[in-house]
Amino acid sequence: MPDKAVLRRCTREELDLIRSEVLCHSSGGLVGLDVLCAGAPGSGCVEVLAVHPSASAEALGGGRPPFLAGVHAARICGGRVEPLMGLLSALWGGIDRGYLIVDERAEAVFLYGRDVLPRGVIRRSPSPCGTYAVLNRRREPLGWARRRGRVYANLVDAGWYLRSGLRGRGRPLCLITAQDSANTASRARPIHAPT
Amino acid sequence: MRSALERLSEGLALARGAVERGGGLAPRELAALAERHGAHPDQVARYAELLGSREEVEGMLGAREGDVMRTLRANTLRVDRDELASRLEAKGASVRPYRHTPYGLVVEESPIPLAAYHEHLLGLFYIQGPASMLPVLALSPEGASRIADAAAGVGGKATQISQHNPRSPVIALDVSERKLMALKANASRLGAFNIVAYLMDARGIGSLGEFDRVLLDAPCTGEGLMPFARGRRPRPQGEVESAARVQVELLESALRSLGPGGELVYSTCSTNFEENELVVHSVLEALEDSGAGHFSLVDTGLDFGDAGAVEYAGISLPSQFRLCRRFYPHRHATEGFTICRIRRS
Repeated sequence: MPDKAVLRRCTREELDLIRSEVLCHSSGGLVGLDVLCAGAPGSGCVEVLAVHPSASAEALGGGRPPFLAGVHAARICGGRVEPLMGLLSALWGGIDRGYLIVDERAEAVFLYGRDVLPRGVIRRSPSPCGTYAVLNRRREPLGWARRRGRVYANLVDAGWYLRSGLRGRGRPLCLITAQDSANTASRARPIHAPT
Repeated sequence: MRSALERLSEGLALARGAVERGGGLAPRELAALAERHGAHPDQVARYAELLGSREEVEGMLGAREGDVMRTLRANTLRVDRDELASRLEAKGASVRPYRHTPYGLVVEESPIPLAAYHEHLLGLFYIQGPASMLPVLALSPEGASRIADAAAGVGGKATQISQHNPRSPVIALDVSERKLMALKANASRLGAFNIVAYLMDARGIGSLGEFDRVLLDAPCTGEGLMPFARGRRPRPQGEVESAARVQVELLESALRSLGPGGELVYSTCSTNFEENELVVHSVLEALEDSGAGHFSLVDTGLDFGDAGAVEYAGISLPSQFRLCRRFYPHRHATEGFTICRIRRS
């Protein structure tokens, strides 16, 4: 995606994609949070942000484009959702499916960026999406993994924060231009499980 | 009608005179102290003018990292302080509550660097200095409907505000894209969903509407970080004056963005009178004279720290400046810090 992307309400298609990913891991969905998108829909990648409703109103309603709103939760590329650490923050305490619970040794190596080996898995809950939230014994989220053969490959983990050296180095993910996004707007709404 | 900058310049001229006179110390004594402690002679003179006795000046200059409490802030959005303390102690750390805050822990010993604990990676705590935790407590943003962190940096205090008030928007401003990227990582790690960050100079905060709470932890000389190797460098008077000029502009803009009844906390990691009470006094007087509203200093609500300075370099300030709070490494075991709280009537 271009570095400068318009923060906007997600399209219905984007919301459906995010909802499917969320529901793979949490029957309760994202509680009390709005979902916003940045980037042109249907082209390149779209960044997904989980935002408290008061902040999303602020970010969309102000005259000035924000640099960031809420937490960077995921990225949609080619119709596929790549979950990020922010989504685990948003699902904190609510992950009840699509997870791996790992032992202390597996936790330590996973947080160094390594994969999870079968012997480190204490409990597995199937994931229809293919991605697994990796949890420690306290069910605190450590990162995301995807099954690759016998191992669960590390997609992203909480240790990147240290390993990245300079915290926050990298391209801006949500630098917003003043471009009007009205044409692509759809209603932002909290993502919940079907009732 | 004199502007805040003009008023500041008058005060800075008086302060410069006092510093040039050595703050009452003999030139040889000044030079020896400066050399021994890696400070600038102007800095030694400022401390002498502010603290009075040679013993106090030596205490201030001689403070080192080990004299400052090593603290962290439990992220109460996810864990309470007692539970975090138990978890860290189970891993070999020795901690105790930082009693001036509801979520701080003082780390007496730790077998590994604090940043390496899994609890840190998982966002259960934020590493924050003992004085750095206090401005948000003074701000008391609970119940506020719109809050600004006008110089947010990497978001340490913006995420702390989220702990106090996770439901109202926290508008975080900074001129550094690099710092805002770090703020993004911190917000994600700590689960702060109500922050909206703008890459902008806080002197333009007026374009963002009115706030009922504003934190201005202003860019400063960082002289309060002298105990740490990263903060130990000589700071001539000219550097202090440059910082104060920017601080005046930031504070004036930030105060103008307050709605009626709104409150602002002004803080710096510096104990220099020029960067603190003098800045606040220059701006409050200028705003009062210009009819921009009535602003007054109010109690910070903090239960420790020294009173604000009201006499310095022949400058006398109204007694309400005693309501500001000052923190010194050698007296309070914190970074050097100054905090003032201002209310708009």
